[in-house]
Amino acid sequence: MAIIETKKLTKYYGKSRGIIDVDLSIEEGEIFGFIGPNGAGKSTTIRLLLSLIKPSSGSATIFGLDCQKDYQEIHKEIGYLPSEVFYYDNMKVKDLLNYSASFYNKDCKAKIKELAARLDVDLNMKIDNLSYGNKKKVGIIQGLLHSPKLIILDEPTGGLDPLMQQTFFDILKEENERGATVLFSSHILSEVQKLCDRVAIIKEGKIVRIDTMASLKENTYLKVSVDTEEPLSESFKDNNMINYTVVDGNTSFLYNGNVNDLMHKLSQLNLLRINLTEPDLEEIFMHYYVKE
Amino acid sequence: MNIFLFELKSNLKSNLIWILILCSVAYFFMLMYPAFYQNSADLIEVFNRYPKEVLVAFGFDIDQFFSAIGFYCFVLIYIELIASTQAIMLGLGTSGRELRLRTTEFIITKPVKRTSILMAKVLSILVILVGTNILLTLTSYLGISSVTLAPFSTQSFLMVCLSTFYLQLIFASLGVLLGVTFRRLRSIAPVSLGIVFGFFVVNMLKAIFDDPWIRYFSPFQFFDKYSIVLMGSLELEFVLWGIALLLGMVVFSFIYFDRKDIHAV
Repeated sequence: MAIIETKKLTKYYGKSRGIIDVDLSIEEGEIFGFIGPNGAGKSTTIRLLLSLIKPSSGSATIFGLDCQKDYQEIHKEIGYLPSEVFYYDNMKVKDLLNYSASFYNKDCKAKIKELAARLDVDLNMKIDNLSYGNKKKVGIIQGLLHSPKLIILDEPTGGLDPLMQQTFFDILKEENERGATVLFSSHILSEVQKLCDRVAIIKEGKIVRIDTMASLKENTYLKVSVDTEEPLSESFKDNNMINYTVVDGNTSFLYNGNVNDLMHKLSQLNLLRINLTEPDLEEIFMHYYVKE
Repeated sequence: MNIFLFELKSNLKSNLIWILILCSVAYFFMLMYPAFYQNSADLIEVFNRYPKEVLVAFGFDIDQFFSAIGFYCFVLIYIELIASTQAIMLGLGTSGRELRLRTTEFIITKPVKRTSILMAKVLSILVILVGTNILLTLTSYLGISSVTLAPFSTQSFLMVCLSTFYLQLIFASLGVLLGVTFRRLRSIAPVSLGIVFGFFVVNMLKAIFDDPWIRYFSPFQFFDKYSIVLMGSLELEFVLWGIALLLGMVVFSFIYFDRKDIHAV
């Protein structure tokens, strides 16, 4: 069963675009990445799923329940971590977490302690005195303390140092192994690459591609870089090459055709050096990012 | 229940201070009554030199003024100014707490209906206001009893106190309405004080121009204290008008909050 399903989900803020006709289907147990540049509509989609805002048209369901009508039921099993966390003033970390836990009919004490220990959070500190990164860690605990079935993360890693980020990803993976589905929104591709099974790419309010991480990478994209005596002419370029750039004697491009054809073509050249690597997602997605 | 208790706890300290101020003002102003009473002949002389409008504007009624309960009605002008400030700050602070602290997402993503969130907040406001008025009424009763041996109508006194409670309810629900409808809220005090003093000026205009219509827009004027003392009851027309206003503001707040888009901060 799809945990999250949206159909033609559309949101306009007055006349300005939020998202248009977003169709998503996220299966149980997935870690689903949601990538796009700032302002593409990632947060708008997430805010619609959380019933923070109302859609202009279309529908969204979570656990098979309507996001607008049955949000109370849905929220019991959702953990949400926004990109910026804010809290009530004049509270200790543990008071805040206990207040948060009081909304769920569960004993969350053990989980709070465990997460606090792993993330190195002092529960007796006043929240006002915490640094940005430490507030973020409190946010992580707050989002996970009730062991939700669905974890929604909206650009969550800001403020975390690389080590903490790794711990955070480890925790997410464990939650996922426990059975939780994860929706992870980010504009940082390497994060998504580390974590996700499947990704949706959103651009200017529309989903441009949904694919598994494996097939995105395995699409036999090859990053080719060759050095030649004479700069290569444009005529060398064919339809299987993208991001074709020539700088003096160096030519680089991404290739997604038949490798044998490429080898045959390359063998005609007088090569000084050749470098064949697997491109990272950043390079594959760059052409989705660039405004047309 | 947890939101109710959370709000009650968050509001407790500041409102205990408000209650302390209100009760002190009520009690210690009443302690001045004997001095006024002893100099009544001189004071009547002084007051008669002012134009009538000026006296009315400041809530003086010479005939009533020299009874203890009449003096309390005069003191009430200041009490009501404080009480309405307390009430609107409480209303705005409670319904707008998440808006001011940017924690709206925190509370909305919890498994609780939006209307239940607001209901818990409104109930916590109500509890604090009821508590405030019980303590204020008791203190005022002690204050009046301690300075006069002359009998006074308990019913009239209670009705006067009820009008203060009414006023607080109206300002609190106005505060709730604003806290729900605002898109942004930095600090509570400037907004609250501005509104209270705005209405206070309207109240003074009413006294000067004597246009009956102004009364409907001036909560301070809904109930004329001296006529309550004389009649022993509140004017029905304004009781109903007040209820209509209260219901209107509260119901609108609930509907608006339930449908509101919560925007990123």
